[in-house]
Amino acid sequence: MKYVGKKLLTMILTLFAVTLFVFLAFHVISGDPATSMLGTEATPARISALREELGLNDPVLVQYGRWAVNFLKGDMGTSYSYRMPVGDMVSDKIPVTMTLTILAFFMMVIIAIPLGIYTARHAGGVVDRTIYIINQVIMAVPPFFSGILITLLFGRIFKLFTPGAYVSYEKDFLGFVGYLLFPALAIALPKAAMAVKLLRSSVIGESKLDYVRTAYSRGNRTRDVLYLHVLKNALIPVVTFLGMALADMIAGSIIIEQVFSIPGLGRILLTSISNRDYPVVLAVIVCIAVLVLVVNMVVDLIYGLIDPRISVE
Amino acid sequence: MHDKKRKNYNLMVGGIITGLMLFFILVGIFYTPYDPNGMDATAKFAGISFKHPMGCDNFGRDVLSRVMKGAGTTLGVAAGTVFIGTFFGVIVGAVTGYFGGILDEILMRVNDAIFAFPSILLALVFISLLGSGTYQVVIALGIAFIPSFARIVRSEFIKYKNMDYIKNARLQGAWHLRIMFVHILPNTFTVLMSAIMIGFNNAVLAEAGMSFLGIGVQPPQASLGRMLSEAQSYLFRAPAYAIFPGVVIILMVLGFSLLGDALKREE
Amino acid sequence: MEKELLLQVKDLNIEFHDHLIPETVVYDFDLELREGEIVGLVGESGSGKSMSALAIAGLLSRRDMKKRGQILFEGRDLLSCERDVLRKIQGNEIGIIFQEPMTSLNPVRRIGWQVEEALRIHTDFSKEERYQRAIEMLQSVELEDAERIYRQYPHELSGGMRQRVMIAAAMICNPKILIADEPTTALDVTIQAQIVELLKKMNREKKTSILFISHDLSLVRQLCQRVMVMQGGYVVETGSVQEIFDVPKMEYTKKLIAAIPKVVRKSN
Repeated sequence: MKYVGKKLLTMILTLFAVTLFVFLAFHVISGDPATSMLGTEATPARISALREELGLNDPVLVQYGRWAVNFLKGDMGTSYSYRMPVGDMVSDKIPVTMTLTILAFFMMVIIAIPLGIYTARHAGGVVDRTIYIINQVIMAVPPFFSGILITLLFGRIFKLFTPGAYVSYEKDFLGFVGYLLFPALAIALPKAAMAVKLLRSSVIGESKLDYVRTAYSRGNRTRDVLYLHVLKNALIPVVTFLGMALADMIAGSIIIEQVFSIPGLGRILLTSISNRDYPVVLAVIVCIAVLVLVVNMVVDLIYGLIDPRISVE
Repeated sequence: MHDKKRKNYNLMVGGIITGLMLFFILVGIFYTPYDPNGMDATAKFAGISFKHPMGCDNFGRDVLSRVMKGAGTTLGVAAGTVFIGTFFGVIVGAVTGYFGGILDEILMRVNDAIFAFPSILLALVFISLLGSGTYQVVIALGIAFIPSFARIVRSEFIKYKNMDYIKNARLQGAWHLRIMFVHILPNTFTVLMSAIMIGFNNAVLAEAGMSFLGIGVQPPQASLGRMLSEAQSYLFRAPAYAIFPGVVIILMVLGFSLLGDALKREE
Repeated sequence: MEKELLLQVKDLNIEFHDHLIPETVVYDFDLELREGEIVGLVGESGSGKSMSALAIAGLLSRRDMKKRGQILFEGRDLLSCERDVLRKIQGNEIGIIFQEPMTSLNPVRRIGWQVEEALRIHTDFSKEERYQRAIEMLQSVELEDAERIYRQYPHELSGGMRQRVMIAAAMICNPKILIADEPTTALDVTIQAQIVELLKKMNREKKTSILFISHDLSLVRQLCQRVMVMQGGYVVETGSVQEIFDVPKMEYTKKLIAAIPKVVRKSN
C-alpha cells in the first residue's frame, strides 16, 4: 500500500509539473487571448473589458491555479476558434481515442505473447527465422504507412471496410469497433514485432538461469518449466515494454486517426495546433498526459504484483 | 551459436542496405533525373515507365527525383535530431551520473517525467510552441530525444566512475572534466552507438510522421512523410505514388536497425 | 552386512558438442552408491565432478553422453529409459541441491510453492497435506518460523537459509538419493559446518544415500564413508575415507590433502 501511495504521489506531482510547464509555455508564446478571440480589429476598450472578464490581468500563477481548479471541475476553458467550451469539443473524442488504443493494445498482446513464446521454444527453427525477418521489416514500417498499406489491402483489394466511412460509436457501436480494427492493427503491428523480439530473448535468457535447472531436477516437464517457472520471470521486462508501448500507442493514434479520418483526440489536436487554438491544445495534451500517466501507474502496480522484489526496494 | 551467425548476417545485409541508401541520397544531392519541384501537367499521375521509374504525382512531378531529395531531407532532419539528443543527452547524463547528489536527483526526476511521455507528443507540444517547419521539427524532436540519451549515458557513468582506474586518475590529480570526457566517455562508445542507431531510426520515423501530419517539412520541399501524406489523397488512383516513398523509409530504417542489432554488445 | 545397491554408474562419458570439436569432460566414470551410504566426490574445479552429478540427476542432454554408458538406478538405466520414467524418478527418488543457493531458487515464487513442487508433481496429496509436509520439512531443516518462511520469497532469505530451503525442497518426497553439488562452497565457514551437520542428520534419520561433491577435503572427511578423487575428467583414486586420507596413492590426492588448512592438526 505504501508503494501504491508513493506511485500515486509521483503521478500527481508529474501531472502538476507537466501542466504547469505547458500552461506557462503557452502563456508566453500565445500572446493575448483576448486579441485572439476578438480579432485585431476590436476596440482597445472591448479588449480590456474581455481581459478583465477572463482574469488575464492576474499574475500567471493565479491564472494557472484558476485553470487547474476549473479543469478539475470539468471546465476546460473556451476555444478561441469556435467560441465554445473546450470540454464539449473534447469529451466525445476521448472514448474514440481510448477505444482505438485499447483495441491496438489487445491486438499487440494477442499477437506478441504466443509468438514470442513460440519463437523462444523453437529458436533457430524455420518459423523463428522467418518471423525474425518479418519482425525486422515490420519494425521499420512507419505506422501511418502500414495504415496506408492496410487501407490498400483490406479496403481496396479485400473490401473488408470502406476507407473514410467512419461510424460514430453513438450510432452503431459494433460498426464503430469494426472500423477501428484496421487502424488498431496498424498501430499494433510494429509494437507487436518489438514485443515478440523482447519476449523471445527474455525467455531464452531466463531459460539459462540456475532456477530452471532446479525446476527440471524436481521432475517438471519442459512445458511446466516454461509456464510455471520461466514465463513469470521472462514477463517482467515485457510488462515494462508493454506499458511504454501503450503510452506510445496513445500518441501514435494521433497519426493513425489522420490516415483513417477518425475524429479522435489526435484530429482535434492537430487542427487546434494549426489554428493556434491554445486552450484546446492544452486540454488535449493534458487529457493525453492523464491517460499516459494512468497507464504508467497501472504498469507499475502490475510490476509490483509479478516481481516480489520490487516492493522491498 | 546461431545468434552469432544471425549477427554477422545482420551486419552484412544492414551494411548493404544502408550503403545503397546513402549512395542514393548522395547522388540525389548533386543529380536528380528531373527537377524535383518541376511540374509537368501532361505527366499527371503517370504510371511507372522508363521515363519515370516511380511514376509522377498529382502535379506531374517525377516521384523518383522527389524521393531522392526527400530521403535526403529526412536523413538530414534525423541526423540533426540525433545530434541534438546525443549532445545534450551526453552532457546531462555525464554530469548527473558523475557528480550525483541533489542536481542528479532533480534532473533525473524531470528526466523521468519527460521520459514517461511519448516523444511524438512532446514534439507536438514543442511544435505548437515553435510553429511548423523543418528547423522547428529538428529542435522539437531533438529536445524530445534528450532524456533517453541522458538516461543511458548516466547509467554508464555511474558504472565507470567507481572503477579503480578512474579513482587512480583522480588520485593523480586529473580534472573532473578530463576524467569525464577522456577517461569515461570513450568507454561508453558501444552503448552510445547502439542508442544512436535506435535513436536514428526513431527520428526517421518521427520526422516522417510529423511531415505526414503537415507540421514538419513544408511544401514544396520534398520529404518522405510529406509525400506520403500527399499521396494518401490519391491512394486508389495512384498507389505507386504512396508505395515508393514508404518503401524508401522502410529501407532506411531497416538498414540501420539491422546494423544496430549487429553492433549491440553481447550480453 | 552389504547394503542394497541403489545406484550404479558404468562407463559414463560426457562430451559437449558446442564447438566444432567435441570436448570430453568426463571419461569412463564408474560409481556405486549403496543404501544409506555417503560417498564423496572430490577434485578441483573443472575435474568433471559436477558434470557427473548433473548427469546422474538427469540434467544433461542425452546427446552429450555416449551410448555405451549406463546410469542404473535400482536396475533401470536412466540414460535409455523413457523420459516419463526419468521424470518420475527426478525429485521423487533422486533429489539434488546446487552450489549457488542464491540463484537456484525461482525469484518470483514463494518458498512454500517451491518446497512443495515435487509433491505436486509426484503425489496426489491435497493442498493441506502438502502444506503440512512443507512446514514439517522446513522445520526439519532447522529453519525457525517455518510458517512465515513458507510465505516469503527467496530474496528475503540469507544464503544459508536458502540452502536449507533447497535441501527441504529436494528431500520432501523422501528420495533415496540426495546429490549435493558443492552445497557449501558459496557459504560462510560457520554456515558450511551447519549444512554438513544437516546433511548428516538427513542421512541418519531418513536413511538417504548422499553423493557429496566438494573440493573441500576436510568436509568430505567429516561426512563421507567412501571417497572418489577426480582429475581432468578421470576418476584417479577410490577408497574408504581412511585409505584415502592415511595412505593416498596418487600424487594428486596427496596434493589435495596437503592443501587442507592446518588448523585441525594444531589443535591436536
